[in-house]
Amino acid sequence: MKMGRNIYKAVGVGLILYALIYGMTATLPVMRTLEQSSRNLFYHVPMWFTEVVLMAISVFFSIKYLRMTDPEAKTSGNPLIADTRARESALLGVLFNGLGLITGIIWGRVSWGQNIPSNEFAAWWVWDPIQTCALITLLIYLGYFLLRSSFAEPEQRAKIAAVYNIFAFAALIPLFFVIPRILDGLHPTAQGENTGLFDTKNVTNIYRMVLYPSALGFILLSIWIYQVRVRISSLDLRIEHLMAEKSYKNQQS
Amino acid sequence: MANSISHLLILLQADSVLLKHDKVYSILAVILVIFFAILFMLWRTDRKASQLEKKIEDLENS
Repeated sequence: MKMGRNIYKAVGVGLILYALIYGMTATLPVMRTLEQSSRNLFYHVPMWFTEVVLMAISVFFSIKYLRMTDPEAKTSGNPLIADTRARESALLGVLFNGLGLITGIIWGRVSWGQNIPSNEFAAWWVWDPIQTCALITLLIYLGYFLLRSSFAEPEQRAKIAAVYNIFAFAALIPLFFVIPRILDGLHPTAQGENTGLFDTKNVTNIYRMVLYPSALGFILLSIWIYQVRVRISSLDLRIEHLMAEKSYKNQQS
Repeated sequence: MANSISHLLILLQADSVLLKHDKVYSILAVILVIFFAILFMLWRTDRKASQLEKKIEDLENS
């Protein structure tokens, strides 16, 4: 039983190790300008895969919280655990959003901005549609935590945050999957003739053989971190419950 | 002519220097050390959560 629950951790670690070792040493087709930096595909892109999965988990538990607190619903268990799950996955999603932006800036510096001097802003940030949409997404989810921090009462915080989270995820889908595909941009998924340096015709199967396992590995690792954080937060809820019981007993006697 | 050929040779050397002199392996080693260190801490945190869960279960049952 316990072995079965832990197997995904080993699979995740194994896939990331494969992506690190094979991704760094494999002989790849030579691409102009990108050269060896094309290996960044194996580590930069999985950050975004992972973020989308985490945000989907988050919105799932936000909806679950609202359903559990519905007066007509017949559910058992503490709804605040669903709120904790939504919060922890959104927090990790923000982490991976930030990692995706930072790794993108580093990669962009040596590819898109390689002929621009370092003291110019355009060498680091070019307002590419995907880049901009990812920044907007980060700001929306920072708003989720700002909103949470402005309520002291747990049930009220959980309910309003859950509603906000549904709107945040509804904004993420067009920001990630629709707008960047309509506009011209430097990313290879963008619309138009100028598909940047990473021409999709050059993405041979050797890239896919590392990219997809790597993405799955990072998703599984993030779920491990998420589970540990949820368990610790649930302990906090249980301690508060015990303390409330204790003070109730003290008042009785 | 000779000048441009030597220029090309320098470029070729620069491009393959990472793989040819096994220097890419040093980067890989650094990444793996960092990865395993972080993984070790995550594993320890996981175990600590399990211990706390047991403790609290005892407390709730007492």
